[in-house]
Amino acid sequence: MTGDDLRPRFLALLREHHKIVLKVASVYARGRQDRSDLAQEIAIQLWRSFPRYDPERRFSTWMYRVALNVGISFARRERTRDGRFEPLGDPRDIADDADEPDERLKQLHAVIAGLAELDRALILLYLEERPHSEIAAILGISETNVATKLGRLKQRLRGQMTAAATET
Amino acid sequence: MELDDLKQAWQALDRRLERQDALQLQLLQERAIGRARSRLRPLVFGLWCQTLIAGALVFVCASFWVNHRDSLHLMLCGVVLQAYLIMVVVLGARELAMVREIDPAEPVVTNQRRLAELRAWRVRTSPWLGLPWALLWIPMIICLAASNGDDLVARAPEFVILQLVIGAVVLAAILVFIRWSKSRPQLNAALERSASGRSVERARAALDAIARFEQE
Repeated sequence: MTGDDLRPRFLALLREHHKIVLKVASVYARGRQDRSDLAQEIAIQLWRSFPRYDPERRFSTWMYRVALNVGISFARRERTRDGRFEPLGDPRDIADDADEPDERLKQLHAVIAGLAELDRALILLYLEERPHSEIAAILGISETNVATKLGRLKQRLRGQMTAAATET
Repeated sequence: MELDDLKQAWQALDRRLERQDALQLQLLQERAIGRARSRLRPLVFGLWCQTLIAGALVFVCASFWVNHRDSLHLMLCGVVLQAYLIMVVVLGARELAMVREIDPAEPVVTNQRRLAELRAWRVRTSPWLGLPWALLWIPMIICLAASNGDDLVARAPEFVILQLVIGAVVLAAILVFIRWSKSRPQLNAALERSASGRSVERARAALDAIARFEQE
């Protein structure tokens, strides 16, 4: 199949699933400009990898893999560029959302900003209500491991949110 | 905020993305097709240059020492440079093979582990390429001089020996300092805060984080 044949198919699939790109960008980049840059970077990588996509497999699973891999690398690169080392809870992640009018979204970004990169992938897939089998296929860990990790992560988040509520 | 609130907030994000849809989608489509360049391309280009240039120089060195078999010191200089260049080729080829294995469509943990291993490998092997130059420049100028018909060792043996001694002392001092600094927490921390120390630490931290994530 040539590039010309692939293009309309790719664009149709991107149109159908593009919210995955935007959500991954909102989890791994801070500030509107960075999110837009990351979304474009993901779209570029999707197109580069598309010739090797196996249509027998579920498109969304493939798309999540590519998008999360690009997102994690982007977040890591940004941290290195800023000379930051600690991956968790950078206050600037929250500060960049200062103009966010929706309080719930502000809190959502703050909670996500406090997680390590792989945990962010896990929580995103949980919030997207993907089945454990698909989360396992996307991340490359066992289903049991997904269940264990999600359980621990939810517990930790619950603890963090309770502590935050008590402080305020 | 409870986990349910988190889910509601996520749904609010979903609705917002829907509202911003048309413009975002158009931008994504235009950019995706319009500019397909890999971030790893400069690294791959650099590695190919390194491997090909070093590979060509391996043959230059081989022909040098074959042509100077009658002079032990010149032959040795050629062999030493050739051995270094072979190491450069092997390291470059290994790194290219590691880059080839990286595929963003692989499961996230697999892909991130490969990227972290590549980073760790680069950080670990870069001193092997740099440190030998404390001494390696000496056989290199001897070979260059010999190619122009000048036997530096025969003409100025004291100069060559002095440079070898200085180079060996510098190299040994660097190695001893690195070893010694590991037993001095403050100095070690300062070194780790330096650019190369941070790279080592970051590479190690990334691999550790992935290993922890893989454990149940």
